[in-house]
Amino acid sequence: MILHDTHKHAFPWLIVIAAILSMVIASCSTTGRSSQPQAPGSALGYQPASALSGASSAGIQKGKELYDTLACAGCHVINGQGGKVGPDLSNEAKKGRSRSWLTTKMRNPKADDPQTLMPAYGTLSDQQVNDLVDYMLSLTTGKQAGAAAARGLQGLPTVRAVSSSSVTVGAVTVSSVGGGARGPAPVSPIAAGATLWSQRCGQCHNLRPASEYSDAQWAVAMHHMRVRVPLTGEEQRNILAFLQASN
Amino acid sequence: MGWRNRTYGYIIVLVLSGGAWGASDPNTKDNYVSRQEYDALKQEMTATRRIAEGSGLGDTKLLVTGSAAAGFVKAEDQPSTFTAEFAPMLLWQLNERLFFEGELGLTLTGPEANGEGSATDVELDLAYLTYLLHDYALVGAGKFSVPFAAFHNHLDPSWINKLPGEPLVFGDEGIAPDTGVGAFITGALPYHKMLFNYAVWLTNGPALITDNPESAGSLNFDNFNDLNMNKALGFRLGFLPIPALEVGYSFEFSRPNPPGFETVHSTLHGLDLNYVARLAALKGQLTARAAWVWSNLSDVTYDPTGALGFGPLFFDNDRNGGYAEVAYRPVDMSERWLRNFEFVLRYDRLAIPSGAPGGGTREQWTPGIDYWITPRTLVKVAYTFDTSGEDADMFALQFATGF
Repeated sequence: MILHDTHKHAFPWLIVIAAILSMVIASCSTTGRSSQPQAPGSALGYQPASALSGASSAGIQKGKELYDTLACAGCHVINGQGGKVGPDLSNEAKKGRSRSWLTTKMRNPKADDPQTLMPAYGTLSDQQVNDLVDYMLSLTTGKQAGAAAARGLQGLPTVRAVSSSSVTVGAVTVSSVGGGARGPAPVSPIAAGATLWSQRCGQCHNLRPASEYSDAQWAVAMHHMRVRVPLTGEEQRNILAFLQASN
Repeated sequence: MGWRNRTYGYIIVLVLSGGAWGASDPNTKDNYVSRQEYDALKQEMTATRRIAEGSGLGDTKLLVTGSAAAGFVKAEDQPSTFTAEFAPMLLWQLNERLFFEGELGLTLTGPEANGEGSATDVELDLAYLTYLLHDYALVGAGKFSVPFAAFHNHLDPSWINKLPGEPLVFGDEGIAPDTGVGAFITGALPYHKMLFNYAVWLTNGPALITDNPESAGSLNFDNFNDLNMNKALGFRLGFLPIPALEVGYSFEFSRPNPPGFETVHSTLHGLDLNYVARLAALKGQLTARAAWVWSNLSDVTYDPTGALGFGPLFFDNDRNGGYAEVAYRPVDMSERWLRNFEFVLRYDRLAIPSGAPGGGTREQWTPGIDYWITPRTLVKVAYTFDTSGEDADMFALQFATGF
């Protein structure tokens, strides 16, 4: 009877365990969906980032390469390197940026700030955005850098050569130029154009968002600016490449 | 044992149902595209859109741009007035090397004191063709913006100029050329991390005013049909030691005397500076601009016989003038509403020989506040204090946009 009673009491617990097991299996089956970044326009919270849970060194490295190839440094500073058009990105984790907040900043930057000059990178894949977010959340300075490096999440040199990488932004495929493993940082036309855009155009007037003109119109406008400023032919081509890629 | 079998049965059903629920992801069904397919399709559509945009008539080669402004001015001892101006610009890229730029300037003038003479001034501000020689040089001809001291060809448009009015030295009574009819060659040369730029021009040059008692001895830079066989030759050399700073030196030589008048040599020198930097210490962007122009003309006698009623008039015809302007915009302040304000202060000076018509030294201080509605649209409010003893203080409000 005692045994019988014990079995009778164990019955509900077995059901509970089975239910939990059921949910675990279900969640495993849907992991692919739930790990995707939230869609553009999703909640803009400033929740503390859950650090780098799930971020791999490979993902961070890919994010770093994308950051270089997309010429983000034309506008943003990381560890003192880069342009000053946009905010410093050296401490996004420390600032408590969430993954969804950073994702939205790339997908739909005007959702948070209608006057921002930041172009919407709508043609990047979710994986590419994920990698960029991983890279940004991996960046820390000061005391945190040591701890992060100890976790194996930092370990990325401030300026690192990318031997060969390419990325498609819209219809434009950009490849890094030059670069050896320890050579100087590669400068793609778009990266150079981003820096020149902020420096040369910003010397006289506010920077116009790239979305104000079509690609064809930017070609005409940049020819005009080459005459007026004047620019070198290479400067004209690089700025145009950046504006068309950001458009 | 029946209860035990039933329990195991429930467990198996629950586990399998959980797995089945998890596996019932609608994205796995054949009638949904994969992420990869979606990205490929999206890229294809973007490429198609770009091709469509690039093939549209009127969109491939032409661009209509320019600026417009509306304002209100109240000058001391003068009636207040509203103002309006419109400067459409046509940019036409004929091919990869050939380019045309045309600009009209439409302004309202008048009326005179008797209430008559109101008109719309239409001026062909610019009309010139350029041809790209190579990466470091291009040539052009027509009516173009003369880059002397850099103001007119860089900072003149109403949405770029941070105050409602132009500096005295570049204004209607100024001593620097604004446009010229002729030909030019210009370009830029990189050297390590520095940059040099240059422009050399040959134009009809200015015309010396000899018969007007109110302006004799000054130069008219709107000399569209040359009055003599002599042309003006000028150049500007710019140097950017760092990207944030440009300094320039300009020079122009001409013989502006009309036929039958004593030979006059005109020499213009100009220095200009432009510094724009985003400074963390100031939590914003600092702009510092300055230019100074020296004008030296041969000393001659105007109306030597007195036939025009104001001579003989002789004076040492050396003039100089310039401006210095600082502007600060707190773009890195945490208060977002404050980021769109820009605070401006300009000092102006123009010295004309005391013996010349309109002679004397004018000095002005103009503080102003701009509010940027968009990156190319702003409202400017400024008050000019004229410290040279003339009753020329002025309040100005301007709404300007570039399009």
